[in-house]
Amino acid sequence: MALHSAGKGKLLAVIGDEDTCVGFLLGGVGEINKHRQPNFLVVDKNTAISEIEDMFKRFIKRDDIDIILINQNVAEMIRHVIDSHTQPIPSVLEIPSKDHPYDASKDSILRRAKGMFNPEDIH
Amino acid sequence: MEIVDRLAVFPTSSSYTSVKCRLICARRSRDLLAKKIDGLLILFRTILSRLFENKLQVDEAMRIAAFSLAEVNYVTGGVNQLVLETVDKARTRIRCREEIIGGVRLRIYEPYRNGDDPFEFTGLSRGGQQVAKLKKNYEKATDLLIELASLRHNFQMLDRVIKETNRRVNALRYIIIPRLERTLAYIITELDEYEREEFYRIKKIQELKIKRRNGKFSYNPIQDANIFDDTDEDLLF
Repeated sequence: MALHSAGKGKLLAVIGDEDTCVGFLLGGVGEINKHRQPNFLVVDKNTAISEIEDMFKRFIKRDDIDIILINQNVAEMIRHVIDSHTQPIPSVLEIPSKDHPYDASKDSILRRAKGMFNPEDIH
Repeated sequence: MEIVDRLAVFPTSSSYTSVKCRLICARRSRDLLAKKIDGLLILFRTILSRLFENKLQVDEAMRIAAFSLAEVNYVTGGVNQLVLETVDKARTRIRCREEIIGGVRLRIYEPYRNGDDPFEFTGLSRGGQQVAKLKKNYEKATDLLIELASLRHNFQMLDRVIKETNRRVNALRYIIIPRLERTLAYIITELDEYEREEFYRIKKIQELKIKRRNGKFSYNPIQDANIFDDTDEDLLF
């Protein structure tokens, strides 16, 4: 049984460094809505952590966003906010950034998933 | 007094039937829920293996995409500011399909694209080829990420439902069914007790009746109740 949700589809939101944002914007996910609110946040070294937190909370509240992409190093900065978000929608995905290698051991779901397999199954 | 964990019922034959009925229902629901867990676990494991596969693909795609962005910046001398300023409407959006499997709502995200590309003229002067490649690479990465998101979402949902169902099965198996069994045993013993009492009582009455019929029964209520016993000859008046 399949139900199609009505409407014109949901958006992805991006929080990350400049290169990540620009890449995804060129991929066509960026949108500025009629209140002039973008669905992305460029984080550089001058961005305050409280600003990232506010933006993340705002993305969670918006009902036109289904997926939030966030760089893993940025996610580490606001880990407590991400961990307190337990609803399944929107889902938060941590992505590798250019400067920081991806650390799979910090991914909660992968950690949980790995525990269900035998260690020799994972390469 | 011994405290036994059982339902507070009167031991009658009607409560016996109702408790027995509940016990049968509880056993059946335990079996059905156990089957549901098995079915969900199969789904869960396929999602899990796809999740791992997808994760590796995403890592690869992101690496390629990041590299092509570096290429673009090298050729064009930086497009970042231009891109950040010309954002308008999203071309890539997510369409959501809901599937219900075994009473679990699974969401399946699908990317779909419409509208014009807002960055049509990016890289017009230099590096147009690289920009086109970059767009393609990031679109691919986005598709993979959307798939990953739906897998993760379904993983979480299934995880939650399986845990919940497991708890229910355990509660049925270790608490509710034993309690019903104890109640049933209690009702049976009490009913047996009643029956024995009743049997004894009937026996006793039968004994009395037999005695009376044989005339050996000395007690005569009418005779003994007469206080003015005028059969005595020594009585003067």
